Amino acid sequence: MAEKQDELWLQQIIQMYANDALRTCWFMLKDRQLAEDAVQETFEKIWKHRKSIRREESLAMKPLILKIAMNTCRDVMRSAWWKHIDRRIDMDTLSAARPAAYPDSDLMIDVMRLPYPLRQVVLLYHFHRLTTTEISKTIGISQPAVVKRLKKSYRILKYEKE
Amino acid sequence: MDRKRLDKCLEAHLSKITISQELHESLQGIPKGRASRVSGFHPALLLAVFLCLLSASAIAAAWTLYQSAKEPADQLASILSHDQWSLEGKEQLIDMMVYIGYDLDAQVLQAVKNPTLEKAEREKAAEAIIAQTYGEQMRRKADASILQQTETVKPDMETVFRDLCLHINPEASEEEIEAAYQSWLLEYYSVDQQSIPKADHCKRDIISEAEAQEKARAYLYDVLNFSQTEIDHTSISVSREEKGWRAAFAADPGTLRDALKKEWAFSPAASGLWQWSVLLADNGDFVAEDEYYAYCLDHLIPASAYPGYSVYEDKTRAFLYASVEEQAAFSEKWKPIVDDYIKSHPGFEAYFSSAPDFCTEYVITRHAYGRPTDESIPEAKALAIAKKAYLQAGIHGVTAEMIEERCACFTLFDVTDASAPVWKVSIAFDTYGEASRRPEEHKDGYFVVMDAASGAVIRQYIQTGPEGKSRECHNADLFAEWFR
Repeated sequence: MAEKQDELWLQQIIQMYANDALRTCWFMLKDRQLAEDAVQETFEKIWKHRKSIRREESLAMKPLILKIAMNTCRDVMRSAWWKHIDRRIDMDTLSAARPAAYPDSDLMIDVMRLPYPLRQVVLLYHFHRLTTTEISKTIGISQPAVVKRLKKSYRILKYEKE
Repeated sequence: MDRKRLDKCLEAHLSKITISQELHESLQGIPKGRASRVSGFHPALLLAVFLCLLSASAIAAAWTLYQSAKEPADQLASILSHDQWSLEGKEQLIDMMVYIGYDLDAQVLQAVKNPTLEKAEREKAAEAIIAQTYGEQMRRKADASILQQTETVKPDMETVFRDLCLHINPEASEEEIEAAYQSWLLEYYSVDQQSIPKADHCKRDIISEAEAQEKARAYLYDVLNFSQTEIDHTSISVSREEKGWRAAFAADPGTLRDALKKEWAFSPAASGLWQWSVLLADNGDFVAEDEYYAYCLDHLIPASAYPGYSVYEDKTRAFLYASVEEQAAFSEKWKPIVDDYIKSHPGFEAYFSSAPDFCTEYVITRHAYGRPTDESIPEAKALAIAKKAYLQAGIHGVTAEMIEERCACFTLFDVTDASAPVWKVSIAFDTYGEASRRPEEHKDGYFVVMDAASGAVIRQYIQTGPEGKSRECHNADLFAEWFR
């Protein structure tokens, strides 16, 4: 019975957050196949540790799922073979996700070229709409550090108020 | 209100990415039994909608709060964002604190405003007033494990913003303040789309190597939150590439603060050299591409130690193309060094053994290589046996001529088990020419391990894979297995 409930719970979580997890992983890894593998691993981890995850939080599980997804991506990026793969981002890389006539691809490429720690906070703040407090908890850095990284990203993207 | 450009950009690109049917089915299959997919409106979604409606009034209150706090908050941000925490900045903050309604020590406040006093004295008084209000928060921020003493500590913008909101509306809830702060953040760091210049890295001037080195240091500080001490403990090298400056870093996680170890999930057991690199733009901007973060053993064996490295410019290939004599000399010298290092860094064994294919130092030193004795068959004979076995296997449509003309052959004399040495022979198609491709990338191949005394085949590996990336991974795994 409990197992059945667990399965139902996992299905709910997948239904609600699988797309978010995939978008996050794609954004961090810049590769659809790797991103799908990372999503699979993310939900496997959730299933494995389901007993320690509080069910009443299922509605507010997004930060946790993003955290697990990002940690999975980080592990992929830290694996020994990652450095041997050219991950330069260009229009072709984006084409998989880009609508036929989409404006501002230049900006998207610039965002994708941000270093990993900056890309991470930009994604969480501007796409997933987490607060700086939530980002702080999700990534495990202080709130001032989150704001600092956001500001640095804006500067690089020439997005800051002069 | 116009939606923000960055928000729109990410939304438009990322929202189009959805999980495939295949992935969905795969995820559904994570529990042991395949469960049916939930359809229709999910109760959780309905609850979420209900909660959203409930919070609509809170949003309106937060919006009012944000509108009132916006102007002073902009001023505050301007004061707190200055790199130099000057007396003027401190005075401005104190003015704001007066505006917010803090009951400040009149005597000390007078000292701050007294132009006849020495600047240092006024500054000290200003710091005392600020510390009186924000001291605890600043002390937490100034924790030696987070910031270095040389760095200036200021009150946190969010804390001051919160005080400002409570001054405007003492009844404001934490949620309203948080929402107002988020709105302000979005607004403050955004500008109209028209005023955003297009990034054009191609037309920028190329900075010098010394400047690139400085930019690389700035990257550690600004992006990765490294302290000055940590930067000093990090090896930094820059090199010129077609697209910009490649900055390569190496640090021992043991020298990093707990906060950084936590972010990058460095467990004490895995403590060892951490290497990563990013590509900086011509002008040194942190437009990073092709970045990686990995443990490595590169620092243990200089590239020049690999026989023939200057010719092949590839460590694995240089080692494989070396003579059996050279491989033995290399193994005798470097294997103990790598072994000792791995032994002294618990956790590395698991890390490298999980993905050993590309860590040359690890792969090459997992076995001891030696010189054939009188009791062993000679190298030429081992090679002949391997070629014959490949032909007899009848795979890949291979012929003797093809082996001679199109294959690269490598031999290793493995003496890890001194009582039972083995010959390892690799015969792989070399469609791109002997020196142009790594052996593990050859389209097809045949790897064999044979008893050194008798020449009897102990194990054989047949490599055939589809074209593309998966083929390379597949072959790399197989190659590493043979190597191991």
